[in-house]
Amino acid sequence: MAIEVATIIVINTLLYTAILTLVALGLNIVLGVLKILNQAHGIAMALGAYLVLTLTSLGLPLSRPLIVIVLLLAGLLGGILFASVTAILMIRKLIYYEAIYVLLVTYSIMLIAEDIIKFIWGARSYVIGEVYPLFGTVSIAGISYPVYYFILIIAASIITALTYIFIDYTPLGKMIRAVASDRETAMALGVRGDMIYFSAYIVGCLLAGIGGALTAPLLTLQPGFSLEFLLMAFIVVVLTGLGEIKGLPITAFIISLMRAVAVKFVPELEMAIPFLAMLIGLALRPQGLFGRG
Amino acid sequence: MAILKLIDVYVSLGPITILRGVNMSVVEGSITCITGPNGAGKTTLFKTIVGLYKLSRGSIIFDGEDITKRPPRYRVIKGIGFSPDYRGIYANLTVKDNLLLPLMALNISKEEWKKRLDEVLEIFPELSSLLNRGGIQTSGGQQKIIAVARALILKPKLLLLDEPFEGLAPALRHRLLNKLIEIRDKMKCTLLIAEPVITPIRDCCDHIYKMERGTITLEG
Repeated sequence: MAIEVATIIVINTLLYTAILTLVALGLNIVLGVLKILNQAHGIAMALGAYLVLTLTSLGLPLSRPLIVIVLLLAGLLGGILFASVTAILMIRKLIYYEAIYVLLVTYSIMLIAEDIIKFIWGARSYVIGEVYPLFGTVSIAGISYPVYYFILIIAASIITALTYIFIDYTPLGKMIRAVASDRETAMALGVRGDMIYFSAYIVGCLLAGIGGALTAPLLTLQPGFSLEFLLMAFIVVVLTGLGEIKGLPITAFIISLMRAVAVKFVPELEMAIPFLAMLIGLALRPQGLFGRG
Repeated sequence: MAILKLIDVYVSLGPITILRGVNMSVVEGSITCITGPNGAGKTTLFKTIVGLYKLSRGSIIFDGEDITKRPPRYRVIKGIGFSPDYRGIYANLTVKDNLLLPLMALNISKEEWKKRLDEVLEIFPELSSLLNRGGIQTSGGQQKIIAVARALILKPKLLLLDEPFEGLAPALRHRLLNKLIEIRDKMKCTLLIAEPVITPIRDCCDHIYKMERGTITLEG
C-alpha cells in the first residue's frame, strides 16, 4: 500500500514538474529580460492545448508518430500565435510601464483572450480521448498508468534541456542573459535590445504553448483551465528568484512534490500548501532560492 | 582634427536637467580627460555619447557624422567603445563571454573571435588565466581591466572610460595608465577618460575639461 502511494506521488510529481517547468521557465525568461510579469502567459498554454483539440478533430488517421508531431505543432503554433498578437504591445510599450500598469494590462489581455477562446471553441468542456489509447498503459506497483505520462515527462525534459543549452551556450542565449542582467550595458556594447526582447518573448511563449499542447491529453479542456498552472508557475518564479532561470526545475519539483502530497492526503489544501511554501520562502529568502542577494 | 564634437548638449532625466549646454571636442589620437566632482554629470555625458540617453537639445558629431539620433548599436558599429564606471561585468557569464559579447552582438564571425581575443590578451595578458572564470568570481580591479578589454575588442576609434582608476591600488593604477598610453599609440585609439580626481593621470592627458553642475567650466 505504501509503495503504491509513493509511486502515485512520485509519478504525479514528475508529471507536474515537467509541465510546470516549461510554463514557469517561459514566464521567468520573459520576466528576466522584459521585466514583465505576464499574467496572460497562460493564454499561450491554453492556445497550445486548444489547437491540439482542433488538430485531432480534423479526422486525420492518427498514429503514434503523427500525434507527437500534432502535439509539437499545436504547441509551437499556440506560442507563436500568442506572441505575434501581443509582442508589439509588450516590447514597444509595456517594458517602459511601471509594474502596476503591467499587471493591469496583462490581466486585461488574459480576460480578453479567455473570451476569444470561448468565442472560438465555446464554453463547454472537452476531453481529447485520442492520445492515451495510442500509447497504451504500463503497470507500476500494481497500478496501471498511461504510457503517455512518461512520454510527456521525457518530451518536456528534453525541451527544458534544449532551452537551457540555448540560453547557456549560444550567442543569442548569452545576449539574452546579458540583457536580463543589465540591459543598459548590453545596449552600450552593441546588443540590439529589440531583437533580444523579441527572441526572449518568443521563447517564453513557445515554452508555454508546448506545455499546453503536451498537457492537453491529460486535462478536461475548458475556459480558464490554464489559470491553475499559471498560479503555480508564479509560485515557482517567486521561489526561484524573479527573472532567474538557474535552478528553476528544482523549485518546480519541490512545489510539484508538495502539491502531489497534498492531493493524496489533504486534497482540500492542494493550492494552499504551495502558496504557504511561497510565503515562507519569501520571508526567509526574499530574493528566491536561486536569486542573487 | 576632432573625432568627437559636442555642441550645446542638454540632457534631462525626468524633470531634472543634468547636462546644461555642454560644448567640447576631442582631438583624434589624443587622451582627453574630463574631471569634476561626483554628480557633475560626467557619467551622464558618457551615456549620452554612447546613446543611452537622449538629448533634449544640441548635437553630437562623431567622425564627421551627426549621430545625435542614432541608437547605441549604430554608435558601437561606427567605433565608439565604452567602459562604464560600474564596470558592467556580467556575473552570470564567464570572463571570456564577457569579452566576446560585443562580437556576438555585432554578428562578427567566430573565426574572427579568437583573433580579436588574442589581440586583447596581448595587451592584458593577466586576463588569460581568468577566461573560464565566472564574472562574479573576479575582483573589482580585474573587473576594471575586463571592462576596458571588452570595450577594446571591437577596435574602437574612440574609447570612453568612465572612472577606470577608481578603487584601484596605486601599482595597478600605474600599470593601467601605461596600458592606456599603449592602446592610444598602438591601436590608434582616441581616449576620453572621466575621473573625479585628475592628479594621477594628469601627465598623460593631452587635453583636460573640468565639469561642474552639468556644464564645462574650464579647459586646458
